[in-house]
Amino acid sequence: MARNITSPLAGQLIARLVHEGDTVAADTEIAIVESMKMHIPVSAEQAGRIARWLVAEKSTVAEGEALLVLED
Amino acid sequence: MSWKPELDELERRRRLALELGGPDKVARHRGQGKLTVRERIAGLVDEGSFEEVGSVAGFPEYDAEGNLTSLTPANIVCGRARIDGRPVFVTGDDFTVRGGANDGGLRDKFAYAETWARRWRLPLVRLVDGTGGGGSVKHLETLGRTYLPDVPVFTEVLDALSEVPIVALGLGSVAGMGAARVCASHYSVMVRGTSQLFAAGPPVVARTGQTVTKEELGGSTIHARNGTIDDEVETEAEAFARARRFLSYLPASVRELAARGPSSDPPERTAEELISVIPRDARRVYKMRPIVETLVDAGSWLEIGKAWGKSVITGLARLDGWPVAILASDPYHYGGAWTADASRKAIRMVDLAQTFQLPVVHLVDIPGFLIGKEAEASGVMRFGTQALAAVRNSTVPWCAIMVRKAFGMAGLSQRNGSPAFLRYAWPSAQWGSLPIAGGVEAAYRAQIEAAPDPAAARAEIETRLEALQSPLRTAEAFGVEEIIDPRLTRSYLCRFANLAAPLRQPGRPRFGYRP
Repeated sequence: MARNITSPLAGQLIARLVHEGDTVAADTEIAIVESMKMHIPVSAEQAGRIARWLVAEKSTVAEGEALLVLED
Repeated sequence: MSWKPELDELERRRRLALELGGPDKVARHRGQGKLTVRERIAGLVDEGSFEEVGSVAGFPEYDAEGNLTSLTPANIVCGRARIDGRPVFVTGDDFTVRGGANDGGLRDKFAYAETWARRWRLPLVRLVDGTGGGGSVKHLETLGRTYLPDVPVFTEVLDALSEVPIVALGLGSVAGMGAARVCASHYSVMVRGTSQLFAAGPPVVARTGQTVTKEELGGSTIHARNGTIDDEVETEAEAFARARRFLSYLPASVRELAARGPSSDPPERTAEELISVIPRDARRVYKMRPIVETLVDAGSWLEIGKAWGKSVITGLARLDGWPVAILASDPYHYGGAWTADASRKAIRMVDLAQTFQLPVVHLVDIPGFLIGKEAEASGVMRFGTQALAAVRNSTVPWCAIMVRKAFGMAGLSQRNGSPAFLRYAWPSAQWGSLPIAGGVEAAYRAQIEAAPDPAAARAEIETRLEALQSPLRTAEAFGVEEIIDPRLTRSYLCRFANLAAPLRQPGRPRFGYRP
C-alpha cells in the first residue's frame, strides 16, 4: 500500500535524505525542513520503499503537505 | 410482620434496571465494540466500590391492579465510588435507552448527577455516550410550544470546573450537549473508532450540503489534533486507566492540596547524558521528552495533549513525590516556537495548575512566537498574548530551566506572576529580546549598506554580537539567578518542589476556570 509522508511543519525543504527506490526502516530521517532557523528532521513513521519524491529541495512546504510516497 | 415484601419489590426493580435498554439493544451496543454503562463503571472504579444513586429511577408501567409490569431505567447511571481508594462521583450515559439522550427524561437525576460532586467536593468522572439535550423535535408536538435553549444546571456544571477535578470520557457519538459535557472538563479522552464528537451529526450536516461519515466529521483523530479533547486512546479500558492516572495527581477539590505520593527515586539522582544532550550547533534539534522523563520521579510522567499544539509538551509528573505540572518545548516542531495552538495548549495546562495549585516546571527552548503568513493567519499574537496572560496571572510557585533559547515576547513565558519563581539556566542557554541574525539587518542597515563589502560587514557585526550572547555574561549582571550543571537538574527541581509545597494556597481560583 502506498502512503504519503507529510511534513509535520511549514518551512523550507532544505535536504532530501533518501532517494527514490531506497528502503527505509521506521523512524529513518527522510528530510530536513528549516523553520525558525532550525534544521528539523522529518522521519518515516513506518518502514517501506521510497516510491517517489513529490517536493523539490529548496521548496517551501506547508504543514501537512505530502513530501514523498512510501510503498510497503 | 417485616418489610421484606417491599424490599423484594425494590430488588425486583433493581434487577429490571440492570437490564438497561433490553437484550436486543445491549447486543447491538456491544456489537459496535462498546461496553455497557455498567461495564464501564466497573472498569473505571475500584472493585466493589460503586454505590449507586437512583438505582430504580426510570419509567415504570403498571397494570390495572397497580402491579409493576416493566421498568425502563433512566438513561443515566450514577453514584459514588472509589478510584485508588479515593472517593469520586461517576455518571454514565446509557446509550441503550433512547440513545443516552440527556433530554429531560428524568431531568432531576441528570441535575443530581452533574452537581453532586461539586456540592460534596469530590472529583467527577463523566462517561459520555449520548446525544444532545434537545432530544427529538417530536417532543415539541407533545409540548405544544418551543422554548429558549437552556440547561437548568448549566451554571453549576461550568462552575464545578473551578471547584473539583472533572474528567470526561467520550465513549460513543456525542453531539450537542453530550459534546459540551466532554469539553467542559479538565481532562477529556476519546476512543479511536468508537467515539465521535460534534456540534451536530452527519444527518444535520447533510442539510448544509456536506455528506460526511461521523468519523470524518468528528472522529478522535480530528479532535485530538485540534485540541477539542486532550487525548485519544485505542480502547475504553485505556480511557479508564487515563482517567484514574490523571486524578492521581490532583486533590479532591480546590479546597484541598494535592497529596505527596510515594517516591523511591532519589532526589539527588544525577543524569550524566544531560551535559551533552543539547547540540552545540544551534540549528540542530534534540528530543525533549527523554529529558523530561529523566528529570521527574521515575515512571511519574503523564503527557497530556500529545497530538496538538506540538511545539509545547504539557503534562503532569512528580518531583520527590510532589505532583507538579510540566511545560516543555519541543524543538522538533517549529524549533519550539509557540504557535496559536501551542499557546492554547499552554493556557490549558497553566490554568489547570493554577486551579489545583500544582507548582509548574517550565523547560524553556522558545525561539519566539511562530513567524510568517500562516502564523499570522492563525491569530498567533492573540492566542500567544492570552497564553502570556495565563502565565502571568498564575500565582503558583514556578521554576524555569532555561535549556536553550528564550527570545521575544514568547520568551516571557519563562516566569509567571508568582513572587516565588526560580530560574536556572543550562550553559547551552541563549536569550534576548531579538535573535541576532534577524536583528542585525534592521539595526545596522545604514552601516552595512555603506560598507565596501556589505556581507563581510554584516558577518563582522554578527560575530561581535554573538560573543555577547553567553549566559555567563547575563549571570555576571545577575540577569539570571544561577547557571547550573545540567546533570544536577533533578536535585534543583526536587528542592524547588519541596520549597513550593507550603506555598500552595487552597481555594477557588480568582477567575472561573474556562474549559
